[in-house]
Amino acid sequence: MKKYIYIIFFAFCTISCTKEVVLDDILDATPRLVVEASIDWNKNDDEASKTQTIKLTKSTPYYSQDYPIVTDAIITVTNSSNESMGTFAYNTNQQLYVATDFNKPTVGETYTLKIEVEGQTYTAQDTYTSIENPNYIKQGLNRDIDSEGIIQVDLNIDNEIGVDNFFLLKVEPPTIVSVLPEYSNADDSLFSEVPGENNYDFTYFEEELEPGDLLKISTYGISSRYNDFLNKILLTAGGSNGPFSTAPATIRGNLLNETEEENRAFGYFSMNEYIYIEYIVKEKSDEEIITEL
Amino acid sequence: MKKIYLIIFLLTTLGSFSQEKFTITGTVKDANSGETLIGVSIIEKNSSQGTVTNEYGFYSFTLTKGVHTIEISYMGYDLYKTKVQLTENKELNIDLQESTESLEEVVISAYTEKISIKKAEMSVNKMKVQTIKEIPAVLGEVDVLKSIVTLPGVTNAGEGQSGFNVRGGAADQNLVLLDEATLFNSSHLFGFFSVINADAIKDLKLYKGGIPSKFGGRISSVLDIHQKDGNKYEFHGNGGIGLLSSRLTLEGPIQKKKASFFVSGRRSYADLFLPIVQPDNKSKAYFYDLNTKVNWEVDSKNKLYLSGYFGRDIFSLGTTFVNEYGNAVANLRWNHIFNSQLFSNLSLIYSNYYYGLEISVAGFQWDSGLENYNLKYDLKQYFNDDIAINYGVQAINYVFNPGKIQPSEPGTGIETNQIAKKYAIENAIYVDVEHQLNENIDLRYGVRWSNFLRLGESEINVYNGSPVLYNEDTKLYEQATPIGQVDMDKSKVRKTFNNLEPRFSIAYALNNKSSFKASYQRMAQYIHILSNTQSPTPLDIWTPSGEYIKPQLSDQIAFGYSRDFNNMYSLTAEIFGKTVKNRIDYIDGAELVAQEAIESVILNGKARAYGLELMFKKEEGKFNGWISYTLSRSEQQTTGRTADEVGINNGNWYATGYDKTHDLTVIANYKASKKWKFNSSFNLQTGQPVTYADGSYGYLGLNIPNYGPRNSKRLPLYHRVDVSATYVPEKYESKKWKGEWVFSVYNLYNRQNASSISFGQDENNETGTTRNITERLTMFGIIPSVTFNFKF
Repeated sequence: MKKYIYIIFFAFCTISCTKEVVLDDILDATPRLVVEASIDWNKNDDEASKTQTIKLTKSTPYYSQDYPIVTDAIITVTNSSNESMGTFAYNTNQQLYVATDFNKPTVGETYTLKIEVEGQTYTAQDTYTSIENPNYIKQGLNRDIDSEGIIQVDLNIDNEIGVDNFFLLKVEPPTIVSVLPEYSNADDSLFSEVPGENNYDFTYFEEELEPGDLLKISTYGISSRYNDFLNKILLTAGGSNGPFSTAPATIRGNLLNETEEENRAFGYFSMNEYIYIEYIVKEKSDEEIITEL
Repeated sequence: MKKIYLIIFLLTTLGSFSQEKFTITGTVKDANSGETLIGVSIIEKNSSQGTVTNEYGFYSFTLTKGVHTIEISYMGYDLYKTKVQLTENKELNIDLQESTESLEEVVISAYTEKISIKKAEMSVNKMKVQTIKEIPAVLGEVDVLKSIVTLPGVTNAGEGQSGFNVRGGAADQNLVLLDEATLFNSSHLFGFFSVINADAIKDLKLYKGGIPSKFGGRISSVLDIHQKDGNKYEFHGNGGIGLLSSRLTLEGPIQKKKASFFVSGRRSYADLFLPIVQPDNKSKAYFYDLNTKVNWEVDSKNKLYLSGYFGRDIFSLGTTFVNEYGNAVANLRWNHIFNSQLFSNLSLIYSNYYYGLEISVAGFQWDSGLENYNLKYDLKQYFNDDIAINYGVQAINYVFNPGKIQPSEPGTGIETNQIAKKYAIENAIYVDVEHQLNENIDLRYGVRWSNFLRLGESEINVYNGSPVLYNEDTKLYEQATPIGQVDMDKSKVRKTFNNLEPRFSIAYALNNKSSFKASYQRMAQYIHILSNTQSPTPLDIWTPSGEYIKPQLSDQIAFGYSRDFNNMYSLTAEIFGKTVKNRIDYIDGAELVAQEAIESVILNGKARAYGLELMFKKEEGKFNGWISYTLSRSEQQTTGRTADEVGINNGNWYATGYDKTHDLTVIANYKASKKWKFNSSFNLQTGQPVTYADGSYGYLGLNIPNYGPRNSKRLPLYHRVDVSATYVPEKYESKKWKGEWVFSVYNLYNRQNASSISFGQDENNETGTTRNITERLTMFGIIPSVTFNFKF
């Protein structure tokens, strides 16, 4: 909610101004391993989900961003019985570690990732979390922020009854609208579990959005710990280091270095079920347009 | 029990004086308005003995039988001299005439300064409303809180941020009293302006140390603000039209000399012009506040005061986002003079802080707040010319509403949830002795016993061990899951705290012009603002101490030297050191809003601060002002609870967000003629401590900055000059009404001071690439403004 306060605060503050500066007293920390290991299983496409990827890079000085790819790692993902879930091998073209034989995970089961690289062993664990299929997409016009009206897209989804699944929503608009995908996460405990009332709207609005634009929408069921991690990641990536932001700190994920404890890796290993939807933005209209899914 | 013995001891030892002495008592008022005057010096000419009026303008002065010359002096007023023949106790009410404005260098009576030099009271700054109004302000909006930041030892985290910080203390450690009632949020517009309308106040007093035992409940400072009573003789009004807001004050007698009223309102109106520019824009952003007071002098022994404050901030973006918050305070006081030596005041105060938020895009509505009733009975006994004893009791009943979340309209999927309300009672009794030991030594000592009862509530979380878990593997603090919940009746006491808070100050006068002072104080604070942001926001929630949040305890010592030069200049130098136990800190990524288990994200740490303060002042004359300088350090530490835990920031000390190594302010005022007056201020301070990124990595297609040690870097040096000129045209000066124009320029040389440096992304939509950038946010560049003030 602080995020909203921040937005409003600056919407009203016309006296203030921002200017890009380059800091000359910024420190450069030692590069660390960065693990992007999101095993995302498409609820509606078991076949395609057999292909899973993991990305290993290194962190850089703040202004650099030319993240070096780490290529010589040995990666395994195992289930709670210590059985391999798939074989990961480095693919030079994709610059990713790819498994094409990944087995379908079981909801509620805990999986383990192990990475051996540069003489260090990293491990991480996460629980596979499910999600319901969304109900419909509702498109409307929000005239509160801009009187011309901004296209607002609401994705309606059910909160699974009796399950503590947290949510992650990812919207990828065309790059001309936004280069970075828009993420939002949500806490399961906020939503009703009363049958019939247990559905919720995820709202996306973007000033630059035009009719005909393609939105790629992914909804993930995530574990509570991954949600905690994403809270920190998304706040930090939002760049809100203003007076109302929380004190920024280094974000620790779930990767442990078994060899050298202090040499931690950034990133996260997560096991998520997800739904993928493509939506083409309709004409602007004050009437709400509902697209059943 | 010890304390009770102490009181009995004091009462018995002090009560046994009996010589041929009589007491003069009375009230000192402004001759034109009947407004009582606070802090007026009353001096016996031959012996140079003196006293000052209390916050109700009352004084009591004991002298030997015979003829005495009494001089009454108050800054900005003509000296009043009188001869009294004392053969019995005498009542002497004095009406002081305001000095007619003179262009000559005013020869001032030095008694005011002399008295304060000899008094044990230290680390206290007083400001009259006139002084506050002379300091140039943003958009010409006179600001009480911004004016105290010009004093040594007082700072705030940054431009446009809420609250103020005293001697390295947090913003929630200040007790802000408006006519004795506590204000829980002191800012409008998220911190840009203070909630206190300068037109409504008479004066203020800021205690940074040596805090009398009368005050308690906060550990850093007490800001004691007194509202005007209202003119008892004639109906008057004043007001101002500014760029941001307009003000109107009306005051006058209800029954001549006996009863009067005062009402002052203020409203910002940027939003009123918005529809003209953008007719379709349904956004609103404004604040208003209303100060009211009625007082009634029942007879010479009894006075009644009823004061009220109501303020609100309202923001909305149509229905997408609606935000409303503010204070409401009502206060009924009864002054009763038992006899010439015993003065009393009974206060019954109701105070309410409300915060509401509705975000329809997220489908919810949020309400939170704090409500309390406060009963206080304070007495002051003037034993003899050397000793006065203040004593009293206080009880506060709190109801905390941590938040209620509900759907903003049916069918949003949001579950209605009232986070259990919290209840507590805070009690205190105190005794405070003002004791003039001899010609050179003045003492002030006392003790406050405070007691805090955290009462039962529904849905108390029960844990198997600590509510904050430490994950040994990831080295992360995590919220524990409660093993159950219990309900406890709110008439039952859940947790009790008791603290004995000794206070002591001493002044050793070398002569009439200079003195050394020292003080020690212990204070306890039982309610805390939960905030893990860089700066407090109106959304921050007050929470009481209990099983997991312990009361904050602070110990402070200070040494000072005061000196008066030629009755024109004064110099005060002080050094202080303080420690704070149980300063709360938060686990990384803690979510405080809508948090049902606040105990599971909190760790107890500690804080410390030390520094040097200098203030050089010239109070009267054509050219006046002051220079204040502070050199200080304010730090915080939260170590792990066991040797294995990392704590916050690896358990290392880190600078608080309001730690300012150097802070220099120069205020200069020049009265050129009857028509023109010039004011200027200069501020130079070390940049705010901040955390910088020291690396970057990619995750989920986003660029994530990695942050280094907490608050280990500084924003660039902050400095700024503000100027203002006041013009009083003669044609406006008639018997009926007066007007003046105030032209001001904030940040004269348009210094681009950094309010923050943010680590963000520059997106290039054409190439589809992003770039890590750092951006400096400047809150206020150069801002010229004009205000028209009038009075009738």
